Amino acid sequence: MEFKSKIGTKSGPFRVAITQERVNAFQKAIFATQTHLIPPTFVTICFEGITGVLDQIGLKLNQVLHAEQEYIYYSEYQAGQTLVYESKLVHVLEKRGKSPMFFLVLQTDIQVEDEHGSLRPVSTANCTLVYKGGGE
Amino acid sequence: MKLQVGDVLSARSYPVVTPEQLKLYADASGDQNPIHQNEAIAKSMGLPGIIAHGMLVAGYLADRAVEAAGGKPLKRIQLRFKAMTLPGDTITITGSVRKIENDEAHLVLEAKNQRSELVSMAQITVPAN
Repeated sequence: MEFKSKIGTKSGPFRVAITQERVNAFQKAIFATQTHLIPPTFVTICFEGITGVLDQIGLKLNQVLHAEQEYIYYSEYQAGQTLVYESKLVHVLEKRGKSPMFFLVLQTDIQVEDEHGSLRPVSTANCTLVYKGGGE
Repeated sequence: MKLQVGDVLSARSYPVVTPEQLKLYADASGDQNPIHQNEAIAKSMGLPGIIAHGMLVAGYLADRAVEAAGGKPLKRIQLRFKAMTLPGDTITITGSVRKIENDEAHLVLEAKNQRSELVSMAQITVPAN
């Protein structure tokens, strides 16, 4: 497999509505105590861009391991609003050896659309996935 | 409450992880990867059985950091996933304040299981005041 040439591969934009029901279910699943806020990791719902990029570079979600995740936060958002996001392959690191490993960094830019249709940055997500390309 | 370098966060233990919780998390997060819900598929992928979403435990870490910050939103979180969590495991979160700079506190939090194995760790930046 060769991924360096795939840097820049994009997927999106996608839209996901933030419902109070979904926020409540997410809070319940993680036993949230700070329920006055939408949980910081709720932006993980912006997921489709990751599978979209993987699909374009010939990988499936179950072929990679989630090694690292970073979120940088810019602003809050609320139930009733919509998140708009796009993912991009930004970095590839290859560790050569008997069984080569690839570290793929996918960046997702997440914005919120308010009721007037204007967009504001919410978070930048950097997801590091490991693909063990052994045998190819 | 103002955070200071060296502050140790009180440990928080969570209820035992269950398949029902993983289903709830999968539905809420949208991550329907079958390795988190289907025992046969998880085993066919070489796993010991269904495993928890790494981001589920990340949710614990982030919630604990918000609490430490007096309920204020986080500025940044950087997570490393170190070991799998399986149903039956019990996760405990610990952490401390490592650095204060420009009114921001840098926390390091760890999630360990009942065997004291490091499951994931997080560097989290929060408002210091």
